[in-house]
Amino acid sequence: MKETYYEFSCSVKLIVGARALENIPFELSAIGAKKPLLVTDKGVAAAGLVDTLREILSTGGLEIAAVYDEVPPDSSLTAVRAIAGIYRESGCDSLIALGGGSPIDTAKAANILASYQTDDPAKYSGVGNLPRPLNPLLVIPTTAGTGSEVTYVSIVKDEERGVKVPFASPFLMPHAAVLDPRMTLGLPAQITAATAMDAMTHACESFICLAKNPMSDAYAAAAVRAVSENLLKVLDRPGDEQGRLALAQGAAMAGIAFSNSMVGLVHALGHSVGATCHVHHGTCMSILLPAVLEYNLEARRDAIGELLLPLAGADIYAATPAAERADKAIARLRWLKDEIHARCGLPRTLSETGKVEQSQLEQIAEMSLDDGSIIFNPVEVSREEALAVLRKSW
Amino acid sequence: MSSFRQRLKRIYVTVMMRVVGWGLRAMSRVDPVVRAEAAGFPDGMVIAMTTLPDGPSMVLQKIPGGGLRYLGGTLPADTGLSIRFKHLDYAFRVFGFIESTPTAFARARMVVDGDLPAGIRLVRCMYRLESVLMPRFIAARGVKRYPADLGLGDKLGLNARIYGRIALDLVTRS
Repeated sequence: MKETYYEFSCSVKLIVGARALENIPFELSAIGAKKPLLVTDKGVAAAGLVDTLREILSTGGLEIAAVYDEVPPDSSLTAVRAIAGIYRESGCDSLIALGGGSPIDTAKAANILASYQTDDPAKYSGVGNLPRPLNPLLVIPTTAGTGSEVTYVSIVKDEERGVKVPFASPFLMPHAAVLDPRMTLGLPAQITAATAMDAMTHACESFICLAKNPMSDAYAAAAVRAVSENLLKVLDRPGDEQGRLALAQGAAMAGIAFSNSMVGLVHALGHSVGATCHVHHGTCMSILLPAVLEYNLEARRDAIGELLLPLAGADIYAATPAAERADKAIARLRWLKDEIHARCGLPRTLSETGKVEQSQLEQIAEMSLDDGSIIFNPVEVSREEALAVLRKSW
Repeated sequence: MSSFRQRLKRIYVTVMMRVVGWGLRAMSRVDPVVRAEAAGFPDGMVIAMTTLPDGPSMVLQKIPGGGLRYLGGTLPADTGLSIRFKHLDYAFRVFGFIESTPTAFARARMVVDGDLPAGIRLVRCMYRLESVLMPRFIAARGVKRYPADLGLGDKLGLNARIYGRIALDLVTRS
């Protein structure tokens, strides 16, 4: 019998639901923080979320000491250094990240510089290189997808060297994540769909990849259910607060799952498509997921079959013979993609993105072989096989 | 004081680290698969594999022109890529083909520090080394998929060239 061994951790306090934002002043004061620096991006600020948050916090007796709203879409070390500078100049004692994956990852990395009072992020990059705890960081996601609010990783672009710099340490875990449906209500339909499919992919990959374990499986299955039951409803009724909240919870659960059991070939290919053709990460995930599950089918037929239950519900699962469940789960994901496309036009194929040339597929396949995620894929992937998956998704 | 059993494990891991070091050095010259993979490491990059807390270790360096040079078992101060087993027993299980390399990664038996894409490349070199040097029934336990195109004839031919190259390298220490 195969030995069991796994590691699992998530120390982030989740504050979830109606009027969750109102709890922030109490939460920060409980850990001795009084002067937070807010990190966000222009889009979030333009949507009025900074003003909403400022008013709620002010009523609760907490003033935001400073705001940095210039985080670029791919994050950046320049932004990280600028935030740390403002933090010092303004005498801040904590950080609040408001936004999607980029502001969250940027705030995590800025917290390293702010806490250790340095301007050199390089010596802290890599795995396990943070020597002591960081200052308080509270995260408010405005998309429901990346799961960065519950992970111990931050990836920031170094524009000068043209590379992405990873930081990974348990100390990078935010002190708390606040999931408030008001923060995702205004998210456009296509971004809602793309980020939710990112969460779906985190969950599905963590459920089938090599580091899967009973704890991450539980979170992953719950995340798949949350997304499959709520995404189409939210696309039909964008003001559905309960549906929005369910998606935010799904994204957080998927984040907990994949940060403990990793992701595989969908992410390896998706990172390369994103880097080469600048296609939105969630869109890449949505496009590639069914084809990669099909590629992994024979190695993971049982696990993919189990996904049919959270994907399609008990009735369909029970009515489907065990041997056909994996194929049906993949068919269900393809159906979901079509339904999403009909509602908001999210591309179903690489060609539909209008950004990927067929001639680029070989380069993307080659690049994906060196992606860190690929080692956790259950099947060893050759260049030709990666290319075949890309062509299938074309 | 470590038990006799632990000392034997340490000796085994030390020997296997040397086999891997000399083996990858030789294969980067005579095996087209490892040669192509090695060409992808940045020139001059120092690649270390070690066992916490104090070894055994194996250190390689990419030399201009494509090959790998085996630098021995002493860790330098600075490395471009470092794979550290968290415990001697974890290294023993991987080198003893009790636990496959991908399973060891999935179970977080080791920490990868530095250039992650180079780490993935090194793992592929390790798969190739295991597949070529070990009998199929042993190698199949260490890798995700035994290469379908590696027939017995090819394997014996490659082995002859690799061991010949190792012998030459050991004699000349070049």
